[in-house]
Amino acid sequence: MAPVFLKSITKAYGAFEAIHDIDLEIEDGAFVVLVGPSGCGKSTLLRMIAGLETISRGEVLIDGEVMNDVPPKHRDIAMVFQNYALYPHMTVAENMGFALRLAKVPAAEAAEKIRTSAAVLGLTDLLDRYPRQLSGGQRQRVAMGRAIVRNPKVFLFDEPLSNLDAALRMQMRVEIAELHQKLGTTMIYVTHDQVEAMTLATKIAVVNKGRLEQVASPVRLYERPQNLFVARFIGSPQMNILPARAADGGGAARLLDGSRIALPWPLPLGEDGELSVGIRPEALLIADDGALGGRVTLAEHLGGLTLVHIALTDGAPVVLQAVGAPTVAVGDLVRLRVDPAGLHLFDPDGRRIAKPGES
Amino acid sequence: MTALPSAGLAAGSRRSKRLGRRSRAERWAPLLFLLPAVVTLATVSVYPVLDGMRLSLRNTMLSTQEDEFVGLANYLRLTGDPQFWSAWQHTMLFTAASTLLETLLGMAMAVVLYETFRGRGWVRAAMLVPWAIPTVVTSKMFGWLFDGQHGVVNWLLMQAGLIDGYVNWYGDSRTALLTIIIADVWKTTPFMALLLLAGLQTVPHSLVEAARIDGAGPWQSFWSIRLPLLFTTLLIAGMFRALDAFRIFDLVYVLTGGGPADSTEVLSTLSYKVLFSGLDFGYGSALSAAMFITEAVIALGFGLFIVRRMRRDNG
Repeated sequence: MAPVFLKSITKAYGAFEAIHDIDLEIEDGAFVVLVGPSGCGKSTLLRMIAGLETISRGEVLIDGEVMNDVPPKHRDIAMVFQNYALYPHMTVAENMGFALRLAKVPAAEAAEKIRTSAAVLGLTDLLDRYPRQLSGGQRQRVAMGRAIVRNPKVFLFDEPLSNLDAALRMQMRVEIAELHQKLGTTMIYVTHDQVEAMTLATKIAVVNKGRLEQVASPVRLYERPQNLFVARFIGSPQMNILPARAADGGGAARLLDGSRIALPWPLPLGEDGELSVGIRPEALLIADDGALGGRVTLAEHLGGLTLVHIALTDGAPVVLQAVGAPTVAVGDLVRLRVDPAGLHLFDPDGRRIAKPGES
Repeated sequence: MTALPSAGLAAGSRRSKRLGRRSRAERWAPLLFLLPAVVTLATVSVYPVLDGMRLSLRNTMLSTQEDEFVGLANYLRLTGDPQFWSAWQHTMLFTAASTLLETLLGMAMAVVLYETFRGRGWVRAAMLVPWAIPTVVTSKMFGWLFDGQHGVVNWLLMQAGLIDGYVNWYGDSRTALLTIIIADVWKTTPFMALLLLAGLQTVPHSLVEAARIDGAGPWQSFWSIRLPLLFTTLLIAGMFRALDAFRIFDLVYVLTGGGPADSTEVLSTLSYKVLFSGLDFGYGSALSAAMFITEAVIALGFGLFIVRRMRRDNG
């Protein structure tokens, strides 16, 4: 167990900078998820912590020690790879014991550690099998077993669930969360799936184009996205983003179709100042006195929830999430009210316009 | 309306006839496509082997016009012929030494060329030059390099203080085969390196990275991860090389002609001499047959090992 600090980390390939000056503090025992679209640099960042990529500028500290020039094997970390990277010519037990063998752990002690770890992950009956004889989920578990058997200071996960089907992914997600609760070890987890990030993390770092957009707890990230990128990236279905202008002396936002959304707090913008209005799908409510109007284009019934797709009067598409099954049909004209709790405002540069009382 | 069913029947029978024709064509077409390859192989490969076998059972001699069936007489002569056994030993020694050295050095080269460094593309291309040079040219080149009086190798070794006097490399029966092995290693190692480099590239990079995180240094990751995963490729490359080395002819023929004192005589040069200098087609064919059998045994040995290995890897 150890805290991890990234201090002004930069990765440059020649003149091209893939990672720009990232600072990140990961507390001891935290589960931090680096999330972002593919190519945003999150994997590179993880590989720099692992020691598989050199650090162009800045420092990586694990447990208070600068690790920049320390080879991976001396960083006391374990990593789970996207394709599992199991050694195909070794059995499950040999795969899990490879690190112990290299560390010259006595055979009896190593066997004991392998047995305990295998029991934790339900691998006891598979110890003599080869990776090719295992299913995807079992391979995934062996990859985790190989990591926990060494009892490292930090676990690194590089998109460990993206090769699994949806049902298995959900199951393994739960297992990883349980593993973290059981071991309490610092975990750093890379994914492009915001659902994984939201469910697993104690802290999420949203990465975009080699920069940190926001670092916060999942709930805070959802409730106070600092910019449009985070607002769009976190939450499923996506937040509805509508261009608007300030009206009524900052007391309302006027959408392109002319409708006005009254704001419970005054905008710090002049009359006609540009802004973007973000509305979470669950903050759109069907109400006869609603400020917005549109036509239903599709209703997706998910059982407990329904997603209603609506085209506003100027054609802009929005999604409404309702509990249960509201009685709407395609083609219906509906009025929509906005719950201020799910309303977010962004300035023309995409930065959040803070509500009163927000720090 | 009443005519319709019978018209339908007629159409049905026409269709079945057409289907019958098509299925006959479908049966013959694959065989037809195979025919050119079969004919070519039969004429240039199967027929010569069989005819060689037939000749080896006769005393065909062009100079005396003898041509009678003699049964296994040529093979009996072979078993008691010291020239044959000495050539057989030289061939085996050359095959074993060159295959082993070329595999080891080729592996080392492949590992270096796998890494990224400035100018790697150029080095990879340059590496193939020795292999691209015609063997006769290589032979002449090594003839001059290892020349007993004017050779640069002697001069270099003298300067380095490794030898007391000039060595008559390929003129001395103790060093002649060694010289040929060195020339062959120089020429063929790059080819091995290229085969093994291709093999190395099939080992997923993430495995090497996983090993690094597990605590393996470069040597450990080579011995524990890359080499075991490369072993089948290594065996296949080794088999090709061994079978090729066993047929060594041009290097020996140009550099030493089999001498001095038959110390570099190999099976290819010996059967060539018996066949085309001695015009003893019967005995020469028996020699060739002995070569064929030895090669078949080598191939079988490698083959069994490779198949077993592959079964283990995929079973």
